[in-house]
Formats: sequence, C-alpha cells, structure tokens
Amino acid sequence: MSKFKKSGKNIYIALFLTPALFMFILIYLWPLCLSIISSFTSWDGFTSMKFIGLRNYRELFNDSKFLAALWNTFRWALAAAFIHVPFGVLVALILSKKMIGWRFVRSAFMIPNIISQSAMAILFTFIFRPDAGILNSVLRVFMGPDFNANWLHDSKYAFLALTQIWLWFAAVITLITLSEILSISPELYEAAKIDGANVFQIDIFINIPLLRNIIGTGVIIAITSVFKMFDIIYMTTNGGPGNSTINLAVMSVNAIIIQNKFGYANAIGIFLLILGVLVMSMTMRGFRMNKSAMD
Amino acid sequence: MKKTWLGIISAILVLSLVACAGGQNSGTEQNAGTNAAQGSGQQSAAPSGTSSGVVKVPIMMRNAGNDSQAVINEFMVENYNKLYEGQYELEVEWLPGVAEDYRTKLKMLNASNDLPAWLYDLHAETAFAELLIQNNRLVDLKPHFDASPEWQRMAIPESVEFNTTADGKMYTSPAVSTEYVGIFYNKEHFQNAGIASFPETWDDFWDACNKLKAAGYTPLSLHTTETGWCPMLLGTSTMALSDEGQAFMNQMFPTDFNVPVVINMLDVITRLFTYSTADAVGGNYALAANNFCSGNTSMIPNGPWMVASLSDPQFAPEGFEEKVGYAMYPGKTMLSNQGKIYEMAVSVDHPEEVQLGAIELVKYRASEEFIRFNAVHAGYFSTVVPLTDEDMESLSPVMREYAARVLEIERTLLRYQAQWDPLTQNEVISTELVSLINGTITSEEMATKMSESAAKFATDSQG
Amino acid sequence: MRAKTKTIPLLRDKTFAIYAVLGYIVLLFVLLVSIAPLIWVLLSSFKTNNEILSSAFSLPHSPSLVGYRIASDTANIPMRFLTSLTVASSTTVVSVFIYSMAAYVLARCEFKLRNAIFGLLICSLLIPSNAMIQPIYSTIKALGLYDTKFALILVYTGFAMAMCLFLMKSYFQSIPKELEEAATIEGAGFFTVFWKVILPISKPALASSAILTFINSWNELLYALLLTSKEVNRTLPLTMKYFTSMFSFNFTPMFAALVMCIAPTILIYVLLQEQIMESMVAGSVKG
Repeated sequence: MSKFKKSGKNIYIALFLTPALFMFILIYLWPLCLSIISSFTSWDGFTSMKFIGLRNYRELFNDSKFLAALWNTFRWALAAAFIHVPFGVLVALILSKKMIGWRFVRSAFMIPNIISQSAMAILFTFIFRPDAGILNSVLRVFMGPDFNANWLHDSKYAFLALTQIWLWFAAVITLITLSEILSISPELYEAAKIDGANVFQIDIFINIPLLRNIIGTGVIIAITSVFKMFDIIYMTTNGGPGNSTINLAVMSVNAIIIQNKFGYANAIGIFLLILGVLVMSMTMRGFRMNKSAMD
Repeated sequence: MKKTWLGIISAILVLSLVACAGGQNSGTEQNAGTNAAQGSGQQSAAPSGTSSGVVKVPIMMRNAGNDSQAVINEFMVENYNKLYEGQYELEVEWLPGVAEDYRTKLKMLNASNDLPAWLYDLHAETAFAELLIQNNRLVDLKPHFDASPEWQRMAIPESVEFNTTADGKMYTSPAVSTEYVGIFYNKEHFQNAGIASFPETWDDFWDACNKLKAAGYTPLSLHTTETGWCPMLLGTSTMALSDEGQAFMNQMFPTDFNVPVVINMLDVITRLFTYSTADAVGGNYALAANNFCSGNTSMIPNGPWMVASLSDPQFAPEGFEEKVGYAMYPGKTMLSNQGKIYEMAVSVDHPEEVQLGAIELVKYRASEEFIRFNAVHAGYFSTVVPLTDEDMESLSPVMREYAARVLEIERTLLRYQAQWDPLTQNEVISTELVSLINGTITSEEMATKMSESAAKFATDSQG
Repeated sequence: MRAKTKTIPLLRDKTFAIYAVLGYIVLLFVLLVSIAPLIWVLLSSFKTNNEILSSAFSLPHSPSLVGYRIASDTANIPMRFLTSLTVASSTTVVSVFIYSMAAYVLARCEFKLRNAIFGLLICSLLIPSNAMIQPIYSTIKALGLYDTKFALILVYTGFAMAMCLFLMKSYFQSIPKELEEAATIEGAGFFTVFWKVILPISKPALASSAILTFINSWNELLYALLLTSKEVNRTLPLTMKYFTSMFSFNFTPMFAALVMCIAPTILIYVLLQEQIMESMVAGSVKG
C-alpha cells in the first residue's frame, strides 16, 4: 500500500468496482426494490398496486404449504452441507492424487452438471418410473418380479427420490476444490512425508485445513442452490404428493403463474433472501472465511 | 500454454461475431419444419411498424407440436396473410414449451402493458381472462360485432350472451363452433375381449374393464399431472347423469366441493386408476397418450384434437388408426363447453390500426373458410356451417366416427377446465390426486381440500 | 509435466495402496452416476417412442436417426448453435473480466464499505431468478434490448456475479502478499500488478469461473424463452422444449435435441479443462 498514492488508488478501486456494481444495480437492485415494495401489496400483475402492509407475510406463516416448504428446504440444506459438499470434496481429494484415469473421471463427473437441470429432471422421471423405470427394473432382480414402487409419487419415497436428482452431482464443488488443491505447493507434501505422514493424514491435516475457504464457498453455493432449486421439482413432482416435495422457489413461481399473486410471490422471495443472508453469514463465520488461508 | 488458451477464446469470439453477422442477414431464415413461421420472417424491430403501409400485427402462439392445433395455426397465419396482403401482416412469435410457459410469458408481458395484439385460448385460464376484462386490458368488440352480419350469423347465441358483460360490452369474442369430448378406444382389444360395442352404462363400462383385464389388456390410459385431464374428463362425465351434477358443473368457480356428486366422481376416478398402468400415478399426458398409441392400453378419454397423432408414424404403428374408435361416455354423454367460454380477445396495448388488424383476425376465425377447416381437422363443429359431403370425404376414419357420435349425443356437460378455479385445478388436483389414488386421503378429504383451495382463491381474488 | 512426478511421491507409501482401493471405489461410483445417464440419453435418441417407454435397458431395435432428423427439421440447429455460442461465450468473457477486477479490489484493498459491498454483491446468489421475471423484463424493455442477444448476455452476466466473485475473491485472498509487494517495489502500477502478476497466477480460479459461467449461460431456459421472440435469437437448448410441450409426446427427437445441445458443451469443457490443468502446474504458488 505504501507505494501507491492514496487518492490514485481510490480511483482504481472505484474503477475496478464500477462494472460489477453497475451489473448489480441493473439486474438485482432494481428488481429487488420492486420485489420488496410489491411484497407489501396485493399486486396481481395488473396496474393497481394496493398497499396491504404485512398481510402477505402474515399469510405466509398461516400457510401450511409454506411451513412444509420451509421444513423441506431445511432438510435439503442439511443434505447439501453434510452430504453433497463433503462428497464433492472427497472426490476432489481423491482426484488430486492423480491416480490412473483421474482425468477421465474428472471430465465425466462434470457431465451431469453440463446437462441442464430440467433435462436431468426428465431423465430421472424415466429412472424412477414405476413399471419400466430403470431403478425398479434393477431392484426386481434382487427383490423379486413383483416389486413395485412409485418413487417420485408415493409420499413415502418422494422426498428421498427427489433428493437423489441432485445430491451426488457435486462436480461444481469438486471442480473448485480440485483447482485449489492442485495449486498447493508440493513441497508441503514432501515436508509432511519426511515427518512420516501417510496419505490419509496429509488429506486430513494439510489439505482440508488449507481448503477451508473454498469448502465454505462450496457450502454457500450448495445451500443457496438448494434454496433456489426449481426445475428439478417443477419438472418431476411440482411439490407433490401433497406438500412432500414443495420448496419456497416453486411456491413463489406457482403463486404467480397459477394465482396471479405477484405480491405474495415476492414476499416468499424476500423471506428466502433473508433466510439466505442468515445462513450465509453463519457459514462464513463458521468457516472463518474473511480471514485468508494463511492466517 | 497461454497461447492455446487465448487461441480458443479468440476462436470462440470470432465465431460469435460471425454468428452475429449471420444472424443479421438471416432475417428471412425460417424454421423449416411443421411449424414453419412464414409470417415471422420479416426482421422488423418495431412490433407494430407501419413501414410500407403494411400494418404488422404481433401475436404469440404456442408450438403445439404434433397435434391438429399446429396444422390449424399454420393454416390461419398463411390464409390471413394472403387475405390481407398489403394491409395487415401477422408477426408470429412461436413459443415452444408447455402451457405454463405461454402463461408465464403472457403474464410477464401483461404486467408491463406489452400484451400481444391478439390473445387466444383464454379459456385455458378463465380467472386470468376475467382479470384482463376487469382491468380494461381488452378492446370492446361489440361495435365491430354489431357491424358485421356475417360474424353475428356464425356466433353461437349462448356464447354471445356469455361473452357480453352486464354493461353491454364484448371484450372477448363469442365462440363460433364447439368440440365434443368423448373417449378413444381400441376396437381390436374390445373385440378380443369379447365386447361387442362400447358400453353405454357405467355398469357395463366396469364390466368391460374387467373383461379387458381378463383378456390381458390394461383398460385405461390415465395421468395425474397437468390437472389430470384424462381421468377428470371421464370422471366428471358422471355428473351429467343427475340434475345435481349438471347444476354443480354449471357453476363458475364453485366453492363447495363437499357434495355427493363430487364425492361420487372422486370415487369413480379412484376406481378408474385400478384399471390403468402403474405409471399413470404421477404420470403426465405424454405417457398416457403413448401407452394408448402403442397399443398398451385400450382406452383414453380425450378430445378429437388427438386424432392427428393416431396416424403419425412417430407415435403409432402403421395402420393403428383403423383400430381406433371414438365413443361417448356412458349415458351417451359428451363434454362440451357449449360456447360458454372466453376464447379470443384483442389487447389495448397497440395502436388502433394494429387493433383493427387483430379484430380482423378474430373475424377471420369466424369465417366459413376457417370454421370448415377447424371442423375437419380439430372436430370443432358449427351448426351454421354444416360439413359438406366433400368435407365428410376428407375426414379421417376416426374423425368421421367422432362426427357420427356427435349426432347421437343425449347429454352434454360443461368441462371442468373452464369452470373451476386455477388453484384447485393446478395445485390440488395435480398434487393431491396422487394421494387420493394411493389411498393416503379419502374422497371426502380430497373434496375438502378442493373446497379449501376454492375458498382461498375466492378470497384472494377479492384482494 | 515435470511437476507430475513431484506430486505423486506418495505412491511409494504403503498406506497409499489402501487409499487407492478406497479411492477407486468412490471414483467408480462417480463414473456410474455420471456416465450412465448420458449413455441412456444417447441410446434413447436412437430408439422409438415405444421402445423408450416399454423397456429401460433394451438396445434400439433398429437404430435410426429419425429423432435427429425431426429435431433439425423443427429448428435451425446451426443457427441456434451459433446464437448459444455467441451468448454463452460473450457472457463468459465479460463476466470473468469485470468480476475478476471487482474480486481483486474486494480481496486486496482496504477501503470503507468493503465488506458491505461484498455482502451486497453476494446477496445476488440468493435472489431466485425465477421470481425476478417481471422486473428484469421491464428493465430490458426500457433499455430497448428486448429480443436481442445483448439482453441475454446482460442478464446472464448478472447471474454469474456471485459465483465468479466468490471463487475469485477467495483465490486472490490466498495469494501471498509478498508477490504484489515485490512487483510494486519494482515500480509496477496498480493495474500492471493486477494484470501481469495476479491474473496469470489465478488461472485456476478464472478457469473455474469461466467454465461454470459458460455452462450456466448455455443451459439457461426460462429467460432465453421470455426475453426473445424471433427465431434468430432463440438458443439451442430451447429446441428441447418443442418436444416436451403438454400435448406433444415425442421423446425420440427430444433426446436427440438434448444430445445435440450438450455435446458442444462437453467438448468445450474437456478442451478448456485440459488447457487449464496444463497451465496450472506452473502456478502452484501457495502454501
């Protein structure tokens, strides 16, 4: 810092931030303002925006669908943080050892993420179909020919089945973690080896602590994408049977396209945002992400 | 390494530029398939430009895929543009995707006062149509209707009444023809199961289902998503048999579903699913239709618009169409909206000359040429424009059978899609029908859920 | 490549054998869940509707290209491909450029409101795009960009914000400060330090951001449908929608369209990934 003139540097800071801030204002801030305002109205997509105070928010907490959506979101967030992300990191750690075939696996793992979510959803409806579905065909080999389960549409299994559509496809986590691991200096490993550390210890005591920041990032990315998960639900169960697979994003969109309740939909969106900010700041604190990896 | 990396990026950028340039020149490019958008070839940026004296009329239509709707849309665009050459020209946005995509886009455009000039299929969401009317988003067609004796001659009187508001305005166009919804069945399966003709009572119907099952066939193609219309059509037809049922279906946006006729209907639907495929529960229409066209099932309750698929080699094996018959529901019942629906409208979001062009389109769809085409290809029949012998000749065998059934109808019933509120249809039926069939909830509980959502919809729409 | 031998001295470790066995079990599972769907899609694109529906595993009876023919008859595939490529690659280049600048400043400079600005920008990760249709449309409309490729590029660049900032900021933070200080002492200015020192060693983060941005913009469907109306501005993945509409049930061309839509992305991903990994070997500066 000492070498820069303070004012000159400030100009650079402003210059470097301007494009991103401009994008933010254009794509997020203005829509957000509109959402916040309309969440206090009974706006139906037509010209009149009638102010109704907190009624949308009060209605939310009396809506059994909302409570179900909240509960589902909570469980999915846990699954994202404790299964999805650890799995992605695990795969990255294994891949980083560069065992034979690692490049192939690395590229292959990305394929389900390259296929769009709505296409994955369509695909899984074929996997989970009761009669000629792939899963049931396999299970019949073990459980006898009479075995039948309607995975996505039986309230006993629907939640679990829907979770499988995204749970294991953690290639994004793997991608960001792997590039981080590969930039760790090999000398560190050499030193650890000389100290007698084995490969498990190296992963646990050297790699994972160094990856703290990126794992935190991964947790945030995973949880927020669960919060916003839409196509997967919409194209398979649309929240059913009953409310067993509903989430807030689907609820909000349905409020618009089925009921024309823009105000209510935006109240759901704002609630989701507040929830997200809380979870995000908790995660950042938990992973001490504002400190650099060196501290 | 850096160079290769940069090389790839620059290659992509060069390609992109080519694409941009290509895009600008390819204004006349058209999608060559069944949905060829001849009308949209023009590259005018202004949606309602009046360059060279031709008024562009921007409209939006779904790409209906493989059913008769695609044929009709194409016919409409082509003939309208020919008829009004030099005066009006339709500028079509073809919207691929499901009905929800169309609705989402329509609502998005509406909230910014950018509706297309001409709106159609408003009966798909009656509640939205009513909001459009209440908020003065539509042009009053009444003066134009009054000025056109030809249009008046074609319009169904009940529909004129339905589409006229209390203060004498006409924001939505009256229907000029009606379709009747019954059930397709596989004659070969029926024959092999020893059933002589399609059952005319519900007892015989269940009997036939048992016989089909005994003969090794799955009797019915059904589904639960997309408001479960195949089972719902057949199920609601039971209401045609009683005065209570007729009265119930005559209500617009009923709020009390806890009535015997509805409970009975739900019981019937639950029973119907015991005669269907395993994938019907949670399945969509596509699966149901495919099962029927592949000969996996013996019946599918559906409208005549499905006829086109029966002879399409993509969906049905060759010669399949000859095996298919069209029947009325038990009790000689067919479902029909009897013109009591919102159909087309013209939005106020465009200059007057564009509105006039859109009104001409509404009128074109009430012309003899269009009505005849619509009757032959989609089974929309008009009492004013009877089919000629020549028309009858050109009908496909199934369509001819459909036309014959229409003459034998003893009872008709309004369709639930235009009568019930969207919340009950899209949220309750689409997600709870599954629970009803699985036995998680009873018919009474289902009816209660329907009543609750209908009440919720009623209070919500009052603001 | 020399560095490769350097990273696997562990191979000589005894416990590595156990690690390798366990590791391969995990990787096998990964392969199974990743490849199986793709193979199934590929096979299905050669089957008939009836074959797709009646049996999960069967091979196509008489493999045919009918699905591909129908898909390419329905839409102008080459044109749509170019549209998608234009949109996705422009979005990627713009995003990586502007967000790396912002991330650098947020990671490295001390100034008032730094955390507040970062927090604000990151909030974009939480705003569900499906619920923003209305305001975004009115913005795009007001800018006169409706039904242009720029509209899509603009919106997708916005959507890429949080992910790019996150990845790049956390990477920049982990670069030792000594590197910049050394460059500064040699007389390099603010921009030179960023461009010549920071960016070259941050390729892993830039690349991850680029890949994710490209894939996400390529796959986006909702806004691609809502913000365009002319055929020239329709993207490739929208082609799939022709075959999934409610009254249509043609699975064969749908899967064919899907294959045509994902094949270029996979290719681009594999190509980029190789480049990145190669260039990264020299870049191990951390620890």
